[in-house]
Amino acid sequence: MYKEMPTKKLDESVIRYERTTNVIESFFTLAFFGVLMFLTVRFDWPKWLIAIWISLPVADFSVSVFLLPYLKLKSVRYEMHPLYLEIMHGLFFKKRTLIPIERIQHVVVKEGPLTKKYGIQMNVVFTAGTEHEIPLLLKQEAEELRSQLIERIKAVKSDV
Amino acid sequence: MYNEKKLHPITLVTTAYSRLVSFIWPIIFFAFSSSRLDGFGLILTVLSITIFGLVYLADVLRFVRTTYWIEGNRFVVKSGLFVQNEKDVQITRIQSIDYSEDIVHRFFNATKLEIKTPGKGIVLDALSKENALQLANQLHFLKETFLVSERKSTTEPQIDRHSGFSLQKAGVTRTVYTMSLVDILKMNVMGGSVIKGFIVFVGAINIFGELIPDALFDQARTFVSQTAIVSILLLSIGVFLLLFFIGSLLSIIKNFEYKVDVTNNYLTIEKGLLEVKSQTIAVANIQSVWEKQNWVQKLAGYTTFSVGITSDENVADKKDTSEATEKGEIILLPLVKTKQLAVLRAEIVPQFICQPAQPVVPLRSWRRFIQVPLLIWISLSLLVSYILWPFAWIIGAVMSLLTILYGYRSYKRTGYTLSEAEITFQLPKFISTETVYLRRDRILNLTVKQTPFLKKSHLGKVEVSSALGDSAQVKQLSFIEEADCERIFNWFLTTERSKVYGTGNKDSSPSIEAMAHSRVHE
Repeated sequence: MYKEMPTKKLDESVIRYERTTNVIESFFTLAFFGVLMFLTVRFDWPKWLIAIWISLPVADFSVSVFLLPYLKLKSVRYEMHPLYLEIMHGLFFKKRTLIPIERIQHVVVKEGPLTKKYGIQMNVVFTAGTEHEIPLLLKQEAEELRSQLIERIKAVKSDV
Repeated sequence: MYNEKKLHPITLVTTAYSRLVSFIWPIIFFAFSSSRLDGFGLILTVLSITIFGLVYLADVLRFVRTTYWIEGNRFVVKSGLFVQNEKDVQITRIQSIDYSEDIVHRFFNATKLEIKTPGKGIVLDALSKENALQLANQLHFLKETFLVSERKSTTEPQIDRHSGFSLQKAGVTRTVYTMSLVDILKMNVMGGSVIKGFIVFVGAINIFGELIPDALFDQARTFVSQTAIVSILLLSIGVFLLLFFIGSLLSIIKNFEYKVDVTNNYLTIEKGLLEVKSQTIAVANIQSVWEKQNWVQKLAGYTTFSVGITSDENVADKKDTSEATEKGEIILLPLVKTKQLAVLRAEIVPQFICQPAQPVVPLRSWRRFIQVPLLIWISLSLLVSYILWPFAWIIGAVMSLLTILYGYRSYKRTGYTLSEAEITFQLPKFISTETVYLRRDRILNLTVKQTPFLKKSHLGKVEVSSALGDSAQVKQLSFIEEADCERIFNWFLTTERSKVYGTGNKDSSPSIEAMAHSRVHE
């Protein structure tokens, strides 16, 4: 029940995927601050700005590579109850969602080059008007969950 | 082989009328501006009339080539100018048969019939009333027969939540609610839009009343400027009253002889003075019900009752008979005495228990409702009055005051109640209070939200989604005790499915449950 946290945690290895995407994202941040740096030098803006342009991306990089993946790994949990799927996620805004399996209409799998490389799948569960992501599951785990879900959806006869 | 039928010849008149309505304005425009258009006007007029003629000719041909018939479990309409198309719906899946009659229809005693299934619809314009009734009855009969034979052939009964006929007389029809002319007027006076308009109006007058003397101080405060102000005031009051009058008139035309019928498990709304419309709702298809009561209604002891349904149809046709289907909210009883509501509710949506909600927000939550908006208003108004307009702080102060009031209302009135299969949410809005009743088996998902700050003070939010229209509605209880969050969470996470699932479906639920359980044991 509420006091018990969902049982399934993310596999430790998915952290590599999370870290890689964050590194890639950091490059964009880096490029943005590079442009700012260029402008500062080119147009003689105050020199102390350069300190900010250097420290901010460094801070962003270290947080998004060394801290956020661990937090995310810890924050995401899920569990298959007999009649419900429970998903817990969110770093600061923590959310625990219960989705009756009866209400699930279809499941979408999101895959990209990176997820394939790390053997990960993103699954999105759709009801009659809402969608919920179960992020960062190992491929085998995701497929297991999906087949379980689909099997149970088949047993459902209502149509809304 | 099948008994093919044609539309009523009145169709020629009704299509002529609707075409004329869309062509009349360009024709008149071109005809009257012919002198200014140097002869082009006449050509354009003739051209418009010719196009009208051709389009109408196509309509006539289409009428000649349109037939409909019943073939097994299919209702088929064949039509088309050159290429003939067959469009069909499965009779067993018919959700409703609605009708609408505009002035011409009513004059010739004809009806436009709309047969809807989930995702599909067929419009027959026009049939004579007699034929329409006969067809509706026949479809109804066939559907029942098919469903009965289907039930017999399969061991497990099928869930049937799609049927219902506005024109049917097969079941016993009871009128449960009507609105007289006086009621319609009352509804307009108590309507939320009037109150909002009035608040804005009074607010504007107050703000300007404060500003005008200062602005005019340097100029001579003469008798003339005062009369000017008075006349502007009178004029704006006049405009307000005029708009209200026009609005009421339109509302009377639209809602004339409003009535709600209950037939078997279907509700039918009928209304209209010039154009009569009907809309059928399958009771089992109702996802949620709610009451909205604004301050004026509360003082007078009235309330508004609505139901929420799903629609998977693309409502592209503007002449659709249904009201607000794309949003899925249907106002069923626009104005009803609070005392009578319980009885009516039990009759209309018997599957809902509708327990009143208990306020649950603890005192320490009060500031959380207002702190963020208050901060935004204060900083914004200070900023604007510093940079742009020195009087902006007045608006800021008024808004802050309103925010505080709203926060107090939220603290006092936000609440919920749980019963075995149903949850009630009471959610205050700015000028009204909304009470939503949701059945557990209709809830799409339930989310408990917390931030570390809320966790520290043992508070939380609960969000519930239910299907409405073609998407979902989200209702949230904010800043309630964590214990209440837990209670709602545990209530939702039962291991057993509730037995009653809409109507006509009581036998199938345990099987789902059994299957789910058996899988767990495997």
